[in-house]
Order: sequence, then C-alpha cells, then structure tokens
Amino acid sequence: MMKKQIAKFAVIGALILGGTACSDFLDVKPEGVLLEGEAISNQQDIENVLNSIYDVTANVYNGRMQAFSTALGDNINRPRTSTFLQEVYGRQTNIFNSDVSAVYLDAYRAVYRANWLLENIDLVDVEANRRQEILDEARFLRALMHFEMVRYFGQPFGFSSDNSHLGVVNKTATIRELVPRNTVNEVYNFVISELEAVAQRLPESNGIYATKAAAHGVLADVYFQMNQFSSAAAYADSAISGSTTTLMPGFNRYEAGMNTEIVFGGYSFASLNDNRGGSFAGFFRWDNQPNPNPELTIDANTYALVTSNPDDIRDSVWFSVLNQGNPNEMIVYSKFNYDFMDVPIVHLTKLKLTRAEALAMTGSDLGTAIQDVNDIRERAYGSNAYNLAPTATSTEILDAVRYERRIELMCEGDRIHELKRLGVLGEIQTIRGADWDCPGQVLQFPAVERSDVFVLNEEGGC
Amino acid sequence: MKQLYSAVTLLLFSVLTTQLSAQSITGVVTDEYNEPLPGVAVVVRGTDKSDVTDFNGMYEINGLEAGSYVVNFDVLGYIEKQQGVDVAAGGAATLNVKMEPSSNELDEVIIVGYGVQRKKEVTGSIVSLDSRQLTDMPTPSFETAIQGKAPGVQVVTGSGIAGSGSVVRVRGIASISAGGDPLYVVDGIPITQDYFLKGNSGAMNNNPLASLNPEDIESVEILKDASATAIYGSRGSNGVILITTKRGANTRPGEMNFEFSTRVGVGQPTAMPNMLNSEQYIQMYEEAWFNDQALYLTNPELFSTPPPTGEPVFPGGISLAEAREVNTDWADEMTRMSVNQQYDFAVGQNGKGYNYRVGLTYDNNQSYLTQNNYQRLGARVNGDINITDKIKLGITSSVFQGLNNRVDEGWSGGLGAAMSTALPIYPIYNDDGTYFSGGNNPVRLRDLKDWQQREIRSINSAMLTYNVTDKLFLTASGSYDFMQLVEDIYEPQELIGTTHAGVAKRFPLQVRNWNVNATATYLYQAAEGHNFTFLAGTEFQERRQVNGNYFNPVDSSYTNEVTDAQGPFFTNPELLDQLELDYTNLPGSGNTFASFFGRVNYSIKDKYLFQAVVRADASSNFGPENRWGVFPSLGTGWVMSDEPFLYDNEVISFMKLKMSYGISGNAAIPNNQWRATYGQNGNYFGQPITYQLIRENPTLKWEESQIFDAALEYGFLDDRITGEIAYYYKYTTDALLSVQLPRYQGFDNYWDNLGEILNTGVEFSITARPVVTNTFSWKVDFNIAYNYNEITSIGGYSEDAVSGGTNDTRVVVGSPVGTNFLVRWSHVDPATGRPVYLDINGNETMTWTPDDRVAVGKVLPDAIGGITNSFTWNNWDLSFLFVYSLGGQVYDSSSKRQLGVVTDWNMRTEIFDRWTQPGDEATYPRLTRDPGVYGSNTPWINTDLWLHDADYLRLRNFTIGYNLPKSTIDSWGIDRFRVSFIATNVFVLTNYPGLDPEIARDFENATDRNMSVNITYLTPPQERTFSLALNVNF
Repeated sequence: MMKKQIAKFAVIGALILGGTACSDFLDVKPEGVLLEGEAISNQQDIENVLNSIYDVTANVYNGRMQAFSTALGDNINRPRTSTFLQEVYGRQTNIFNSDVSAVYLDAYRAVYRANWLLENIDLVDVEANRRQEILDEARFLRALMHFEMVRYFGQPFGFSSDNSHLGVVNKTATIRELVPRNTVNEVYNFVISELEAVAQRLPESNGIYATKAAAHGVLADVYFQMNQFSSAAAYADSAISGSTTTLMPGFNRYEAGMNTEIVFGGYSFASLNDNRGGSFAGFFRWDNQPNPNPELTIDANTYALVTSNPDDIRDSVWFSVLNQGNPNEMIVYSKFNYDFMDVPIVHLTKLKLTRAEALAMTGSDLGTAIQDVNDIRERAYGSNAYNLAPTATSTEILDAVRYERRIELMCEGDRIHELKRLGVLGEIQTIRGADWDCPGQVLQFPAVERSDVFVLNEEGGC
Repeated sequence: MKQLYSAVTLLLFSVLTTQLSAQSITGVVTDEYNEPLPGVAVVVRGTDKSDVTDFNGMYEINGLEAGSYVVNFDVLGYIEKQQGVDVAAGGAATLNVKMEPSSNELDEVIIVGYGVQRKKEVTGSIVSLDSRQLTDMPTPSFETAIQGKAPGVQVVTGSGIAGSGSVVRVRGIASISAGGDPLYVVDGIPITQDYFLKGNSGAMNNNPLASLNPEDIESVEILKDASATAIYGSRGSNGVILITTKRGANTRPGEMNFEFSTRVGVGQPTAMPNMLNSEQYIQMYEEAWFNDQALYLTNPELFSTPPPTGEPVFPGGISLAEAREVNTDWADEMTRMSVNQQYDFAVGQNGKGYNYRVGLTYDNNQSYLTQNNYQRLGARVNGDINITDKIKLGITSSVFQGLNNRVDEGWSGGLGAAMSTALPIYPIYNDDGTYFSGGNNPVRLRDLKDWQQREIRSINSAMLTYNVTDKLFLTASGSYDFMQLVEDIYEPQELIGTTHAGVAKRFPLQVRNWNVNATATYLYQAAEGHNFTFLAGTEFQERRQVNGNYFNPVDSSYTNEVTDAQGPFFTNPELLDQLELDYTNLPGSGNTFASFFGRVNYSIKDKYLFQAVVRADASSNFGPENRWGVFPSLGTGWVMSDEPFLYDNEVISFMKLKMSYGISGNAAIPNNQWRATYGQNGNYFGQPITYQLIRENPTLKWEESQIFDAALEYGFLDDRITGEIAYYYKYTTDALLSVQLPRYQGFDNYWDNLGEILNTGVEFSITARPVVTNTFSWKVDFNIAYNYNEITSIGGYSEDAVSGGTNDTRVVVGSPVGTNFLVRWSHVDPATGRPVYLDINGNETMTWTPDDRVAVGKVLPDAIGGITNSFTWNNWDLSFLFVYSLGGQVYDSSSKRQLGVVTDWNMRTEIFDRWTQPGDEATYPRLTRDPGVYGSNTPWINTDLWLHDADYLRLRNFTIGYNLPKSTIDSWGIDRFRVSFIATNVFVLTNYPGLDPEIARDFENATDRNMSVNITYLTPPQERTFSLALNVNF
C-alpha cells in the first residue's frame, strides 16, 4: 500500500519535474557568447561570417606564412632567435613546430568557416544575388587556402609524374571525421575547378573583397606553379586587364593605403588600430629600435647580387647594412618598416612578372613579356637604361624576369615556391645546398594531424 | 538461531507475566581498562525500559516486573553484549558489565549516501575512516591523511606549498579529460571541487578542499564500487568520498562537553636540491664554452650558430671576475624552518530531543618556502532538534576564511627559481644596496610582490526529517555551498619597470552551489527475516561561477587593476573607493543537475543480502539528445559465518562474500561544450565579424564505467584478525576526451566520447591484533592494492591528440593513462662525448626528434598501500604509518635543463659525471652551449634519461602519545588529557635521485591532472614536520 503510494508520488514528481520545467532548468545558457540562433538571425550575420573568413585569411598572410617561404629559400640568414623559424630554415620542421601549426590551423579555420557558410547560409533569408556572391567569395577563399597549404606541406606539383604524391586534405564540408591526405593532383584539381567556377560569377569590382580578377590572379599563380605556362599567362593577362590597378612609382608596396597595385590583399587601418602585417614587422623591422636586431636579416650573397648593379634603386630603399665592419654587421631589410601594412596577395608587379615569364616559356607574345619586364625595370633603375631590347629572346627575357622576380618579391613569400618550380623544370638542382626535393623542403604537419589514415611527411630533413 | 529462540521465549514470557512494576536493575558499565564507560545504551529486552550510562558508567532501570531478563548493552566501538539477570519481586538487581572493544566494527553504522547501513549489511565496497584516523597528523588538507589507510585509494600528496591539495584516485583512473577526482560530498552536499578556478596560476592549483577543517570531520566513507557509487549516478565513476561532520557527542548525555586541541610544530623540506655553487657553475660553464670552440674547429656542421670566440661571457653579461666574487645559495635564501600552529575549540551537548556542536578553529600553516603560508579561521555549528515527536530539523553550517599568501610558479619564484635560472653567480643585491635585476632574483620578487588569496567558504544545509510512521521516513533538505576567492596581486614600480607607482590587481570570483533533495525511506517486513528497505529520492543542483571586475564611472570602463597604487588592495582599500564591484560584466558559467534515484535493500535473515540501485541523472553539460543517463547497480552479499556450517567455527568468526555489478558515470567537464557558440570580437575592414568558438558535439554524453566487484570479508579467531580481499574490473567506455583535433578540422580541440579505459585490480587488507592484554596491545593494519590500467581505445586519434600539457605524457592505446612518451636515450658515445638516442625502430642515432618518441614509462604505480603499527602500553601509545608505492615512475622534467645543454640554468652536482675526453664512459654527455651538439635544435630534450623508477617506502607518520590516567584527571574534572608528539615524512627509502618520489604539481587542466601526477617540474618537495599536540576534553 505504502509502497504503491511512494511509487505514485515518484512517478508524478518525475513527470512534473521531468517535463518543461526541467528542460529549462537544464538548459544553462553560456555567458558572454552567442548561441547559433542569436548569432545568425539575418543577412547581416551571414555577411559577418563571410567577413570573418576574410579576417582569418588576412591573419594567415600577416607575415607568418610568408616567413616560411623566405626561411626555406635562399635570401636570408639563419633566423636569430626563434627556434621554430630556425627549424624551418634548417629544413627540419618537426611535429611540434607551433609556428607552423598556428598558420596551418588558421588556414583551415578559414576553410571551416567557408564550409559552414556553404552549409548554413539558408538559416536565414539572404537576397538571391548576394547569396550567390557570398558563397562564391567563400569558395574563393577556401580554394586560396588549399593552394597555399599544398605548396607548403606537399612536394611541388611535378615532383611525381602523375602528382600522386601526398598534398593536404581537401576539406569541403564541416563534418568531423578522420580523413587521409589528398594527392597533390587532387588538391590542384580541386583548387582549379573551384576558382574557375567562381571566377565566372564573381563581380568585376567588389571593394577590397574577392573579384573575378582576384580569382584569375590566383589561377595565374596556380598554373604558374604547375609550370603550365599558357594558362598562367592567360590568367595573369585577364587579371591585369580585368582590374583597375596601376603600377606604383615607388617601393612602399606594404605601406598601408599606398599600394595601387593590389587586386586582392589584406588591409590595415591605423584609424581602427587594425594591423594585418604585424608579423612582417616582427621579423624584419629595424628602424624603430635603438639597437636593431631583427629576427631575419639578408644573406650576404643575396645582397651582393642586389648591389651588383649600382643603379638599382631598390638597393638603397630596401636594404641597409648596420654595424658595418663590426662583428655584428648585418644586412637588414626595410620593406616592412611600417606600423600598418597592406599585404598584397594578387598584385600587378607579381602578375606582370608571372605573365612575362610564362609568355617567355611559351615563346608567344614576347612583346608583352618584354614590356612587363621593362615596366618593372624602369621603376627599379629609375630609367630605361636596363630595358630589354624589343628583340630580346625568350632566354634573355627569362634571365631578366627571374632576376627581377627574386628581388622584387624578396621576403614576400614567393621564393621557395619559385625555386621548387624551377627544380621541377630541371633548371636548378639544389636550394641553399640541399636537393630541391629533399624531405625537409616541405613543412611537417602538426602532431595532431596523424591518425590511422593520415600519414605525416617524411622526416629526416635534407 | 538459539538466541532467536530464547528471545522469542522471553518475549512471550514477559507479555504473559503481569506483576507489580516496582523492581529495578542498576549497575556500572566499564571498558576494557575497567574505566567507566559513558553513553552505553542499556535495553531490557522484551520491555520498553532502557537507559544510557552516565559519565560514571552508571545506569538505572526502574519499573520492572519481577522475572528473568536479558539486558542488552550497546555502544559504538564495542561488541554488543547481552547478559541475563533475575529480578526478584520487590528486589533490585545489580548487573555490572565489562565491554570489549569491537574489532571488526561490523555492527557499526556507516554512511552510504542518502542513508546509513549496518556495515554487516553492506554489499558495496566502502572504506570508512573515523576522525581519529584523519587527524592523527598535521596535513595541509584533510584528504592527505587518507593515504595508506584505505586500500585501493591512491593519495599523491601535494608539494610542500602551504594549503596544497593531494591527488586522490580511487581504484586507478577511469577518466582522461573529465575530472578524475572522486566526488566529494560533505553532509550530503556535492561540494564545489574545481581545482582550476584560478587556472594554473602560481606554484600550486587552488585547492578547493583546503578550507575544510579536519577537526570537524566525524567520518569519511570512500565508496569504491558500483553497488556503492551508483546512488551518485553520473558522478560516481571515480569513486565518492562522503564526509560527515561532527554533531553533539554522546559522551555525557545532557551535559555540555568541551574539547580543546592544539598543535604546534616546525617543518623543513624533506630534501634540498643539490645545485652547483658559484665556483662549480663557472667551471661547467667555462668547460662548455671552450668545448664548443674546440669542437667547432673540427665539426662546424654540428653547430646551429658558430660559438663566440674569446673568453667566456656568463649569462646576464657577467664577466668571469664578477662571477667569481659572488656565491649565492638561492635554495637557502628561499627556504626556512616553518612554524605551524593549530587551535581548535568545540562545545557540544546531546540532550533529549536536541544536540549541537559549535566548533572554532584557527590554523596557521607556514610552509618552508619563505613568505608562503595558509591561515584558516573558521566556525561550524551543527545541530539537530526534534520539533515534534515526528519531525526533526538538522542544521549544518560552517564559515571559513582561508588566507593564502602565495608564491609564484617554480621558474619565476620560490624554490623553483633556485633550481633553475637563479644562478649562484648572481648577487641578491647590487653594491649600492638595490636589488640585483640582471637575472632571475627570486628574493627580489618575493620581497617586492604581494600575492594573497582570500577564500571565504560557507557550506550550509538544513534537513527536515518526518517520521510518518515508524516504518516511513521522509526527508527534505536544502543546501548552499558558497565560495568566494579574491586574489590580490601587487607589483611595485621596481618590479614592473614602468613609470607607474605600482599595479594593484584584484580578481574576485564566486561559486554558488545550490542543492535540494528529498527522499522517502520505507521499511517493510514481508515475513519474519525478510526485511526490505526502500529509498526513493530526487535531487536538483545548480552551480554557478561568476567572475568580478570593477566598473570605473570616470571612463565607463571595467578593470581588474589600478595603476599608480602604493600597495595592494587589502592594505589600501581606498583604491577601490571610486570603483564599483560588478559580477555581471565578465562571462561566468554554470551547470545544473536533475536526478531521481531509488534503492531497495532486501535482507533474508540478515544473511542473504540484496541491493538494487538506480539513479537517473540529467546534466546541463550535455545536449537534449543525451541529457539523461541511467545508472543501475545490483549487489548481493552472503554472510557465510551465520550459516550453520560456520556458526560455531573456532577459527572463522566472520565471513561474508559479496558481489556487485553496475554502471557509474562521469560528467565533470567544462560547461556547455556540446553546442556551438559564436563570438563577435574584432572586425575586418571596419566591418563586424561573427565566427564559431566551440565546435559543437550534440551527441556528447557522460562517460560510463561498468564495474564488477567481488570481495570476501573475513574475521578469524574472534576477530583478532579481520580484513577483506577484493577483486574489481572496471571498464570505461565513452571516456570524455578533450581532443586536439586534426587542424584540418579548423578547430583546436573539442569534446567527444572517444576513449575506452580498463582498470582492474585486487585489494587486500588485514588488521591483526597479535597481542591484547590489559596493559599492552599491538595492532597491525596492512593493505596493498594492485591496479592494472590500460587505454584500450582513443577512436583512431594519434597519441598527441590528448596530452598531459607540457608534461610529455600522452594517450597511447595499450598503455596506461599517464604514459611517458619519450625518445629513448641510449648512451654517451665514448669517442665524441655526444649523446646517442634510439630511433623509433630501436636503431642508434645522434639526432633527437620527437618522431622517435615511444611509450617508455608510466606514472601510475602497480601497487600502493600502507602499514600501520599501533601499540598501547598502559597510558602510552605509539603508532607509525608507512606508505609505499611500487612499479610507478617519476619523470624529472626539469633535469633536462639542470643536466642538459649549459644555459642560464643552474645545474645539479650529478653533472660531474660527464664526458670530458675520448674514452670516457659517462652518464652525461660533453658539456656544450649549443643544442646542435646534442643532435637537437632545442635545449628541451625530453628523453627517458630523466625517467626514474619511483618505488618508495615512506615513514609518513610517527606518533607517540600519553593519556593522563583517568584517576588523575577525574580529580581535575577532566575527561581526557592527552599529549602527543607527531613526526611526519620522517624518512623515505627510494632509488629516485630527485627530491621527492611522490609528486602532485601544479597542473594545467583536468587532463593534465589525470595524466601527469608524478611528473616534477621544479616542484617543491613535501615537508617534514615535528609537532607537539595537546587534546583536552572536559
């Protein structure tokens, strides 16, 4: 009798408390953050998510990622204090290199956010045209990140004949699963198909955001990296013609607000205290210290190359020798001596250099190639004294453009990719004393990437 | 059976006889020493007559009819006794009784969660410790005193830092990222037990148990298996520790009892580091300097940078001449002989219909680290009152203040600095009397920085019990556990090196923990000898943590600091005058639990025991899909010694076989990890951004442990020998892991149910009394617990997906939780003096790379236990407790810097055993300043060279005491007068070369705490103390 009553009370109690009251009691809202319904309630919120992809992309390009290319290349001395950068320079990155890991994570953060947008844009009503644009911009950024990561974490396109060597994961959905690396071929195919798809729809002009020309510019880089020169030249050409950029007269390419060449890039604003080039300054800047001691300094041989032509204005603008004649003599680099920097990702100087080299490789339209080289040279030397002749051969153009590319894009993140590309072509065998395709030329993945299905890069450096 | 028969006969007899009720029985009850025994319940069987002996052991029962009676004498700690007596008509019988102390304590009542059970009837595995066992030595925190006394309970004692907590593990470790500590329940309240309220700041994590006063504790019950823990459902899988505080004592019913105790002692470190002095350091440094110059000539490829030419320049730019003039013994500067004192005073009364106890405590626990101490000041009021015959109100209430003068992390302050970057060539003061600041100067930091944490803790509860009938009891209780931590830091201008006068910081934090529960208990006898006890209940708990900062109306900003302060807030309260404390601005967090539970106990003739428990829990830490979990258990017991074939056995006095199976859970993870949250900090191109913060996992649920337990309790030779053998098998599935996600997922980490963990083991305990006479007795308690732990799955992730912070422990399938995952060290190459490692395939290599890490050790021991010997001789007593640990390892993480590449770290004298010339067979390689020479690009070279066996046997406690004879103190009107001398951590036998083979350091998070006990990184050793104690009851 009593037992039954107790049971009855318990059941009633459970029903009352286990019902609506209980589910409220058990739904404890986190403080200081938003839940999905609060964060995503209208079109502006979706725009904000897209903006956050640009935000994290700009952070990837704030100088950290480019420093890996610079350190792997042949322009600088061993980094002074950073053991992580020293590992990169020594071609011995290991699974605990948190500088490498941080950049890699940021790249995939951008990818995640893009995938999230693709999957969730219909949580709210978004005006139809803008909806397509948002998705295309997200896909553009996602492809860009894959392209950068495959260049750092996989051996270059052309390393194996069918490019079946491993690249990075093509991440196209937010689903959480352990997956193997895609082959380099698969990654490039993905990047190209995405960029070509969105390039058809992206707007001609879009403020600082992704445009058709931006997509073409990245495609030029992609095909150039693949040594597929006619496509590279064609895309470089349409990126140039499709944008309203003009060649800068000076060399302050990174000074915020000054660069007229940017097709696509990261932007900083002193007025918002928003700086997207901080790591460039962190590694190179020397003009704001009483006893300059920057992390990265220029290798003496590189400097000798620059100074080999006394008329090269870039020597005095970008390079300085400190403590000359003393044991602590160093060659420092001035390109990044700014508080706030814009970071050009697709820009006219590089497009011209790419177009010129690609055309020279194909042997067609050498006139445009010569003009591109001469545009760069007239600025670099302050006159047409070093212009290529209109009759210059492909070989002469190549010699000229490769020299100018090295100096123009120095420390901007281009160098190691260029060297590897030349390695694939067979034009060089070694990079700073090591085979261009030795294991240490690619960065090692973070330790946590390893799983039953994900194989890390080969160890052992070079 | 015979007894039952005679009792029934008596019962019938007394009912049938009808005579005048004028007869009486009187007498005196004494203990084994013939001293009067107060508080004994005296019941005349078959009547409603009873009494309780008074202070003189006397009782008197009147109003009896003439006849033969059996009188029952019962008091806690003594064997219940029956004695027959004939009462003649008109007469008064005298019945004096001597009680024998109970050794098996089977009839003792123990707390089992939402109720009590007789120990004999318990089917689960429960260890019960009384207050005496918890206060027999000074400890920084009460749980430390459990060590060695409870089989299967591993207590890794905290470091010598004041107020530091221990790591407690019940039957191994069944969690990886979720909290692996047992659930602590004080007087029915699951208390706030978060070790990471202050993150990993300072040299020791905040200890949430430090504010509990050991002297307030009546008993501690440790629930180990599912039969016992399932009643705590989703929170029981790592064991439950029930703490019951003292109430009005029964010693002299109706009278006020006073207790006073004090303890005064001194302490010192159990070991001091063997760091190099100035001359030795200079020698090592110079050797490295010149070694490098020489080696560079032949092997420049080994060097990451060309070694500097010329004469050595010492760290801090100090020249050789300057270095030679200084020899600072930093370890000596940072330590002292500590003085500890503790005072407790309590008054209690146990009257008809009420009882109360009021206790006051003051405890000042200095550590041997200079300027580090923990002061506890507190009061507790416990009491019960019968409002009516049927309704009782019970109250427990306590308020404590813990004042903790803290020290910095090892590497920046305290003894740790002396063991690392405070070099002997650094002076304390410059010539002009100012502090030296050209290198680590822990004296400067200690003297200039104020760091104080003030904790206010108040744990309160009220419980109403309603005895509806004598078979049905209802209870309702509500409780509130409040914790406030206010951390004050002050750094003056000299320390922060700015133009400000100094920075005062204050970080207030509150944890508010509400709990309400209601239970119904129903006793039901289905038939003679078939007894049921039903329990049904419900419980709700809400815990909220809020963080405070200060609103400054001048610029409408929030802050936790004031620049240009002349001192800390606690001495300069006027700094706060213009600021308003606000607990709403910073994000807080919270969680809730809702639960329903039931328990049925069925006992057949007190011999065949059955228990079924089920608890359904819902936690806000999980999403709606998996919010509710159900945790059942079944237990059975068979008291074999009550069977006819054993009943009269001469040897076997008690034997019980018990078995149980059930499921317990663990939900101790950070709040709200199951759903996506979004942040909006920052902008790009001046436009707002929105991004996801937490990678959602809507299927997140508790981890579950299936636990099987079988045990045999035994008593031989009239219980002169008692003990228990237990076997358990605990398999944890869906273990909660804070997984480091592969970065291609776009997030650092998230929570998932991925792991599977096996714990299995045996426990053996024995208590023997080889000698028991009226003047001399000897008692031995011995226990040993063997545990095997293995991670059987981590869902395909890599070893690095879950890491023990910086402590280089990893999750490795097939290895235990807390596996040292390290590159193997082979030897020092005699030809070159360079280190030789083993690569992942076991081949020798001179390159160190983390890819060659393998599982080489484990921090969990195979076996732990303790041995207590207790002697009494007349009024003297002596006891000593040894604790031991076998089969575990210690990773001496800081020795890679103290015995590795020569840097700005001081080194240990072991470095003298180094390679100096070709042909040397040395432990340590050639000295160098360039890690490249050791085949590494970093001086942080983790190898198993720093992994050591950590078997130890430690004399944990030695106590000698003297009780003044009853006859003497009686004349003073005193019940008890005891003086004792207590020594702790007297010595330790171990082959471990470092400071202390038992290490609970400051941890980064719960994962680290689970995986990285017994890893030291500049962790101060434990304290050795010598104390005098006085206990007076009157």
